[in-house]
This record gives sequence, C-alpha cells and structure tokens, in this order.
Amino acid sequence: MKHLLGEFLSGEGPERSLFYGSHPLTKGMKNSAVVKRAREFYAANYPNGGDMRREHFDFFATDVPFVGSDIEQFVGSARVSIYPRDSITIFVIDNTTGRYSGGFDSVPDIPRVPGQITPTGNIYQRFIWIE
Amino acid sequence: MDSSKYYSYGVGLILVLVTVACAFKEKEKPVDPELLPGKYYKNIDPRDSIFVYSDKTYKHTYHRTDGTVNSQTNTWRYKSDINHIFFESFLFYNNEYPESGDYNGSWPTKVFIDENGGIKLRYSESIYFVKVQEK
Repeated sequence: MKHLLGEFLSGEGPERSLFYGSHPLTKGMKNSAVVKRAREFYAANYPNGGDMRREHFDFFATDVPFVGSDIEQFVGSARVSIYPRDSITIFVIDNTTGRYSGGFDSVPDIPRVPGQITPTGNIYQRFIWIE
Repeated sequence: MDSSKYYSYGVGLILVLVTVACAFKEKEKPVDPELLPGKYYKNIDPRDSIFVYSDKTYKHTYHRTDGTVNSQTNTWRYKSDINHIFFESFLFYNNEYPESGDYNGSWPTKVFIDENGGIKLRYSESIYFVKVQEK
C-alpha cells in the first residue's frame, strides 16, 4: 500500500499495476465496501447471470470507520466487473488514483507525461481474483 | 465540560451530517427516459462517443489517432428504480488497442442531471459521457 501512495505522490514507479488473487492487496479488496455493493448490485440486477462490466461503485465517508484494510481506503471508489464462467466467477476491480479522487481539493486529474516524472499524475491499479 | 466531550460531540455531529447527506444523495429522482436519446462524448476524450437512439439501440464509436474508427452497435435499457442505463455487450475502447470481445457484458452506468440540466453518464468519479446533442 505504501509504495502505491508513494508512486502516486512522487510520480515514480509504474503507471499501471496488476494484482492477482494471492496478493495481499487483492485480499484486502475482496471484503471492501465497494465489492460488497457490487455483489449486492449484481444479485439484484442480473437475476439471469451475465457479465457486468466496469460499474462504478462509490466509497462513502461513512465507510471509513469500517474499512478492513489500508488498501480499501486507498482505493476508495472503484469500477467492478463480474464475469461468471461455468463453475467460477472472475472479479476485476479497476481503480484510478488521481488528484480528484484523492481529495486534493477536487482539483482535476492530470495524466502522467510520457518520459517525465509527473508527481500526482494518474496511476491505475487492477485487482483480479477468481471465486 | 472538558475538551474531550466537545471533541466527541463534534465528531458525532459530523457523522450524523455525513450520514444525512449520503442518504439524500442516494435518493435521486429517476430521469425521464425520453430525455436519454442523443449524442454523448467522453469529457476527457471527445473521440469516444455514444449515440443513444430512441429505438433502444446505441452506437459506440472511437476515432483513433491513426485515422481508423472502432465502432459497435447493440441495445440499451433503462432501469428507473436504480436510475441506470444498461448498454448491452459494451466494449471500452482506447487509443492503444481495440478491446477484444471476450468480455462483452453489459455496462451499467448511472445517469445524472447536472445543475444546467445536462445529462451525464458516469464512468468514474471525474469521467463522464456528456450529452451534447439531441436525438
């Protein structure tokens, strides 16, 4: 978690990071508030199954006292995809870390500039696991 | 009364206000479905457009920098109880590569009406498809 925040603030490190199911940060996301909302939304709106792609789920200020991991609070709101396949279900969580979502006075996001260190430029994380 | 009590009351008051604010935020009125058809573009990338048609079909196009155009058509439906449009078999495009159709499920997106009466479809906290043209 610490290195993601550091990579965002400093502009160093990869622009895109991928975490699979065995990664501690992915394990932290599995029980997050946004994933809980995603499961409930899917159950209510996909009674016949099917793929749900990149639905945005909010992380509210009222979630803060109940977060179970640092990564959950770091990610906050996220886009969740759920893909049922035979006997498994694939979960994909996409998050953009930017100045806007980071709460830096609601200033607009800025993309990283290729070839340059861009402090507080957008970085992207994807978490994937199978249940 | 010592300062710790003031602090506790303050924190409690803030939590109540945040809870009430979130409760109001959750209770948004559904959008008139007649207002949905039209042309939308992504606020951070006008090359990415969605044409929402009255016959419940849509066309999604992306103009790549090399001059080629990615395009797809399918159907949409509106669920007023949750104020969402579901774009069926939706593909997300970007300039690096056309997305494969391996995972082409529905994209549910929440509909917002901004302070000027404009309609926006949310992708993330700061990214929306904004309606710029009527049907």
